[in-house]
Amino acid sequence: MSGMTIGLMMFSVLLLILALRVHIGIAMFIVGSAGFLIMNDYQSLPLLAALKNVAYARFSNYDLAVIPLFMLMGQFATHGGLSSALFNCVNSFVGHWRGGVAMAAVGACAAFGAICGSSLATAATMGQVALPELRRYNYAGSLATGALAAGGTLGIMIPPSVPLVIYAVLTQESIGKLFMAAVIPGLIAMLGYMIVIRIVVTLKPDAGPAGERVPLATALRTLAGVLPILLVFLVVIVGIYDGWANPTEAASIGAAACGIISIINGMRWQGILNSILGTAQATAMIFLVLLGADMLNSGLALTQMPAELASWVQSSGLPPLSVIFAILLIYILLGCVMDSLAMILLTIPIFYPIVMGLEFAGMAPADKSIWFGILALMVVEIGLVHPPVGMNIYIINRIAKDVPVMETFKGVLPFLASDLLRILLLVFFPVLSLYLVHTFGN
Amino acid sequence: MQDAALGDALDAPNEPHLGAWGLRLLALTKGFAVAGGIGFIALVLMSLVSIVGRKLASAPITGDIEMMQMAGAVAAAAMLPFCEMERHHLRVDFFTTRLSQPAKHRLDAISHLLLALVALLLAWRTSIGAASLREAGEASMMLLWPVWTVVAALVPSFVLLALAGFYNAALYVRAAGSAK
Repeated sequence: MSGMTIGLMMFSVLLLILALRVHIGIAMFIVGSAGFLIMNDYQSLPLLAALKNVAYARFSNYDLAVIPLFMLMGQFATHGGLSSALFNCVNSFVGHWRGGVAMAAVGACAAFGAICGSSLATAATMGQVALPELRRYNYAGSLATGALAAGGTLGIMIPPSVPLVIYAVLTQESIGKLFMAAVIPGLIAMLGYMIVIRIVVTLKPDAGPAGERVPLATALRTLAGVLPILLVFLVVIVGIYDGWANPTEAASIGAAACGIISIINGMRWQGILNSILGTAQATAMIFLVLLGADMLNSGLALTQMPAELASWVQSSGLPPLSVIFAILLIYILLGCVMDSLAMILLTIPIFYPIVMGLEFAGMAPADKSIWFGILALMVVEIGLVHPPVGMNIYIINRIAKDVPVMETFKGVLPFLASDLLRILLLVFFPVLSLYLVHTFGN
Repeated sequence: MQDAALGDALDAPNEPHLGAWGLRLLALTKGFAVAGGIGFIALVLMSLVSIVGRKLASAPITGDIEMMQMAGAVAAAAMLPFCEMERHHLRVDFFTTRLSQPAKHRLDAISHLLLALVALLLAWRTSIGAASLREAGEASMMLLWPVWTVVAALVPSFVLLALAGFYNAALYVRAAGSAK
């Protein structure tokens, strides 16, 4: 059997046992080990030797240590009540517009995303803060839940972003450059969602009545309250990018700063304990999949399938753009059944060599790798807001018990349209992702 | 489906509840998770001291990167069993939502058993790895810590992960049997 055949068989078996509810990390681990065994002519010694070190080697990766630290930072922000400060601040500036309270929710999600690398946490915490306000102003249920479910995805789109860290580790890309590159696309996402709200309330004025106008002095006072959060974001992003702190150190600074702000804000032992348990859960979920992906990639690398597939695509004469669109489509389909991180871990080892082998209007390899990272981030995040998995939708719906799930799915549709438009924009205008990286590049 | 999609098995009415031993295991895994979390908080403080030291006095903590790598590995591994007891490890629910409850429980029993076996395999191989590192007398570059102690510190977490997996597997076997 050729390596290619074995590689394809590995993927088929993997998808089969995934469908049978085997944990994603474990399924990857088993299939990877099996592939490793087969490629070593069924000799068990090389596999047993590799397994001696796989756990420590993976878990002691310095770059991966940023994941629990960013999780801790986000958990402190969640349990420290920073979300309500952010929401009140944005709301006091835009709340009196038509649809303004929903826009404030989106804006606050974006701001929260700047200190939190997880969409689910962003959706959950902002949902708790903003939904009661949205109901108070009689916003339509579908607009309120749709805006929050979509807004939650800003948690990973705006750096720090855990999928980008994993992409960076898998592809040896710089975390700092990827974070920098995600800033403009993340802001475009936020503006896109606000424009959607504007269009919805123009078509259906009852859906989003205007809130109260807040005196400027009060508004400015709320702004002063959230300045420390903005400062934390700037220190983390600029620190990493500028190179005076590496990503792990910057994440440490961020976690400490968020912890201190939260304690000043009134977080006590219970909050700290909950932050730790939340961090443990999220970290464990990611690290088990990381461990499995490591074995899967060792097995796949031996089959040489990723390299062969890449050279096959390169020599096939397929137009590069159609390859990109095919990849994006696969992500959208996979997003129907799978978590975004698992998708990145599963597919990047295959797709990355393919994309790097293609020619896109003379784009430099370094640019191509960043551009594709941002595209992958944007497209895997869509899986959080479309059926059937759509975790953000379920999270918001658990908080807004009076809104039927179908209403939320309907409410999220216009936001999905803006997601797709934005992805097209990013495909055709790589400069949107690359501008900041080039401008501040050294 | 709603709860399954969230992965919140413990809140879901159709999932089996933990027995007395399960609650003890949950408490133990929670202890491991909290210890791991405290470890990361300590690493955060260590990093801060190191950065401030480097900026102000060009005197960072010696081996700060090594400490983060070694202690971070141990702390992250300690978080795995808690997630298994809460049944939060990621999986794909989509294709099995229409199966009957007992059929789902049987599949879940198998998946938790597989997780336990993989964890056991890792515990075994990691301890062998630690033993050979000990023989080789390998020490870390900066701090000269014996690396085998750090690698060996991963083993209890994998053993606990295996126990949690076996416990869940047994729980689902029983649930599948009693639901008939």
